[in-house]
Amino acid sequence: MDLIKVLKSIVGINLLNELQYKGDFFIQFISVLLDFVLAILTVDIMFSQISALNQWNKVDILVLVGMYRIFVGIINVFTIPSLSALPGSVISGDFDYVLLTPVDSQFFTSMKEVRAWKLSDVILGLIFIIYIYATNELSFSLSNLIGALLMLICGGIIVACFYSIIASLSFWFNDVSNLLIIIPQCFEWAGKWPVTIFPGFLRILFTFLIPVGVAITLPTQALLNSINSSDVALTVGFCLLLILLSRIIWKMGVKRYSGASS
Amino acid sequence: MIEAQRLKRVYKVAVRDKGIKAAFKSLFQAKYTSVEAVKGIGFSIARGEIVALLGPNGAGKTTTLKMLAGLVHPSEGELAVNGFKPFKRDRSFLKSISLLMGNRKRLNWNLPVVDSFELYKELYDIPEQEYQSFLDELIELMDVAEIIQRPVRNLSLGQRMKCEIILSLLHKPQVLFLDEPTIGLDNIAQKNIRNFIKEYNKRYNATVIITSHNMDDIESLCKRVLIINRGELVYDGDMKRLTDLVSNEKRIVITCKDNPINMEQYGTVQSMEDGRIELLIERDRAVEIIPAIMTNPWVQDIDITNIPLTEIIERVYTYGLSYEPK
Repeated sequence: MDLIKVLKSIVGINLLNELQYKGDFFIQFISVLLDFVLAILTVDIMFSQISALNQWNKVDILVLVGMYRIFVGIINVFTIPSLSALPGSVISGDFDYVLLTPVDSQFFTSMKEVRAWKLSDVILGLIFIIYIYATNELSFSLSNLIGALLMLICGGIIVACFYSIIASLSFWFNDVSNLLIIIPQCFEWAGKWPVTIFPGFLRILFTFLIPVGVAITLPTQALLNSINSSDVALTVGFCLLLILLSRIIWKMGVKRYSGASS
Repeated sequence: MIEAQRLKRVYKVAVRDKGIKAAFKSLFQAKYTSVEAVKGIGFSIARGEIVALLGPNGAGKTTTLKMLAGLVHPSEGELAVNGFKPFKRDRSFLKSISLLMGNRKRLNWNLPVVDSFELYKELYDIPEQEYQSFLDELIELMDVAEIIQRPVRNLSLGQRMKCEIILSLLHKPQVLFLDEPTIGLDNIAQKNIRNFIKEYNKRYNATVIITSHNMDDIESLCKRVLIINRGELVYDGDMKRLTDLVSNEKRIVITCKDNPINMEQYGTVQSMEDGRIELLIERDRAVEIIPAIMTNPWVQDIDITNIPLTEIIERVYTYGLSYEPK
């Protein structure tokens, strides 16, 4: 089974679906743009009062805001819309059809819904970072770029696995939709700041439990040339661990679902 | 093709007393009870058979169907479908079966039907040429050429069901599980679906297991019936034999000017009003009784029918196979 081919078809059908609602696409884009401008203004106002935030200067924070936009765009294209639909389909029994499809059920559930227009966040974030680098005469090496991309990919996988674990709880509990709403809200609240500015407890929370730090702070640090190899190794290890954990929990959940449905 | 032996399924079901206090208590101290949905049933179905799986609500037929399709793990017993253990959900197994549930939809609501077909072509990894020629064949059989370009939301229920059936057959399954395939459809749409299932079974020698509360589906499609009641298989065999087992009667409806005849001498009077008498007589005595009734000058019309399948099945549900006409 060619998963890339399947993914291409899923993206295609979702794109067609979204084209049915062109007006919605436009309104969403305006809302994203407004949110982005507000985040930049907040940084601007804050740095008119202070010169650095826990060793992060204004430009660093602006790069982080751009990275946040890229990351949120990526997870909103596949992960969040697809996995958010899981509790409903478990309750209604529509999940039966996922299990009857000859494609890996976790892959299919995680990729089923695609919000292609969320790629506009990614593009907006990219343009913004390029703009910040150009206007501040900053530069990055190829290794910075590879490091940032690697951290971004690991961050994406970590958040997808984390979200999958939370969504899998719907196999045990009636409805975990509210729990799934909390995660993007945490990203919204904490993702726009470096995880290092939070006090101990929150830093652990946003690193391991709701991995905002790994997903946004580390790729930014990698791009700004301040990440060390032990952070990279730890992130890759954490990523592999979460893949394994989410796989185990998914399989246990599916087994339980099959036992519960009638 | 399908072999089931001592198939059993036990569910753990949460229970609680009524009221808010009990609801809160159950949050911390949940109570469970075991429900035996299927109690060790066994049957064997050959390739190409169309078999009805019947039973009242809660009898265990959907659980059985889901065990056959690999959605529910049997608690005990042996099960093989096409040589596979269904619950392992091997890709080859999933490609060889299809489960259609009349009350669920898989077509994308907003898009033209053909877009959903294209997606399923990729999900089932069907080669382009094979897909196109088979789709053309299904479109012709179902007579839906004019609607597949339209968004699903603009189709009638009958049209949607036709397209759902095509979608579930695109990968040419050898075993078809149909759960209430004609639910909510008008008579013409029901007839079309039944004809299509018959034709698909004939052309591809496919095995079809169907559950339906619509006895027209069963009468028209199935020679063999499996009846499940309270989790037990109470009958497995020919439809005709079932009719003979629980009904040795014929039903006669007599229209007459008056009610002067003593009908009790012929059989059991089921109803008598406004010159319409409904009578149950012994099938073996029909040739003797019917002429006797017809010689009566008050009789205007007489209508002789077998006991309808709906009633036969109801008798099996209520009395088992030991039904004795009163």
